[in-house]
Amino acid sequence: MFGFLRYVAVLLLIMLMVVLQVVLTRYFPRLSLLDLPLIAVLYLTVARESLFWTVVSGSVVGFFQDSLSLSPLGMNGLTKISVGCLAYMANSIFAIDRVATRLALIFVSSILAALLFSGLRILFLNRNEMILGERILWSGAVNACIGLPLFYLFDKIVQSSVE
Amino acid sequence: MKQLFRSTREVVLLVVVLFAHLILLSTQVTRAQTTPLLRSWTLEVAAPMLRSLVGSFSTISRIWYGYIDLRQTKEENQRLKDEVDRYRQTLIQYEEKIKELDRLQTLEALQAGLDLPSVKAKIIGGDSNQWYNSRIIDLGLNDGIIKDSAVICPDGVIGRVVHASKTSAVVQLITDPDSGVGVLLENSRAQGVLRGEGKETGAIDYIDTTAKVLVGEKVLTSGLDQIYPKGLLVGYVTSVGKKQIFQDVNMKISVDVQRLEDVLVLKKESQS
Repeated sequence: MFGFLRYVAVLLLIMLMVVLQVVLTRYFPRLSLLDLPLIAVLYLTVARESLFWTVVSGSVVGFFQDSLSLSPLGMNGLTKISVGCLAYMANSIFAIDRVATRLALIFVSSILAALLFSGLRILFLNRNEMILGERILWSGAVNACIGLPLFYLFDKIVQSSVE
Repeated sequence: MKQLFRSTREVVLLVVVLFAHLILLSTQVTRAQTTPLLRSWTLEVAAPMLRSLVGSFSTISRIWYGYIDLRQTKEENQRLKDEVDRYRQTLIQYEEKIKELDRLQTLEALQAGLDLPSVKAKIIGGDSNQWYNSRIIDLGLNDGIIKDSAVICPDGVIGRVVHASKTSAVVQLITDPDSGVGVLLENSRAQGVLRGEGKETGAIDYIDTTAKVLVGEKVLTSGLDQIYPKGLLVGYVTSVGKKQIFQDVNMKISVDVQRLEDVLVLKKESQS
């Protein structure tokens, strides 16, 4: 029962991140650079240290995100799972529990996610788009700046729920 | 009577002396009542003390009542501040309502001027990622909105519905790089396709080199894409350049898609 509730809580957290992302960009369109769902997937990957959580959270987040946007279903899921797996591997090599490593993880993961998504658009949607380096770097920086405090907030929530 | 008093003169004297004594006595009694010396000294000594005491008491009472007044004033000030805040909040709400009413009235005027059936919708969500330009509206299949329904506002064309659920729909904005709108230039009557660039500007493709396109010319929907009805405002031409086969025409989109709140969705007959 307790385990089931935990799954529900994680699912709600993921949904909240996607909804928050959509609401924020409704009022502040420039915040579309932010990828809150990716931050949630990365946190679950690092905190749970389990590939299962990465795959489940990546799929759910991707499905929700695609449903609320113009992208075909699966694009975001594929991106999130791939980047989540890389983060999982990085976490097994480096201890990602410090400010610098967490910042680096979110920054690099955001850039990788953006590049992968662009690649998928070129591959599957036949888009001849330029890869906008500056925009991708900004996106990485914004995600790292917002993601870091969010990681600590999630840590606090998890700790208080355990206590 | 003659035996008691020897003469009338003596009687008069007696009366006068008695009367004088009475007056003297009465004078003394009156003086003793008004200015008794002991009382006067006592009063002289007590008066300054009393005066200063009373003065102190009145100062203390002034301070005390001043403090009470200050406290009451502070409380009243806080209460008035709260009241002002409440009124200010209410005013903001009223102003918002008036603005909303204005928008809705403008939309209604637009709706009344259109021959096509349409419904008013609210924007409830933005982009879920940075790669697309889309909005989510609060109406869906239940309200007669289907895929490819055009979405407009008084300033011009906004986009088209690409996904619709029962109660909401995703709208692709004309600024989206994947979007294409059949357009017609008002004066030159040249036709082309507007391609979004992810911002408030767009490029018009396939404009013949023979067409005399002017900067500032209105760009309207051509209706050829069978999504947007003919004649809706899309924007204004900002620059014209020559290419080999087609002209290089850029335009500014008339709608500020970043600030959309209420929109009009043109109902489309279902293909099925």
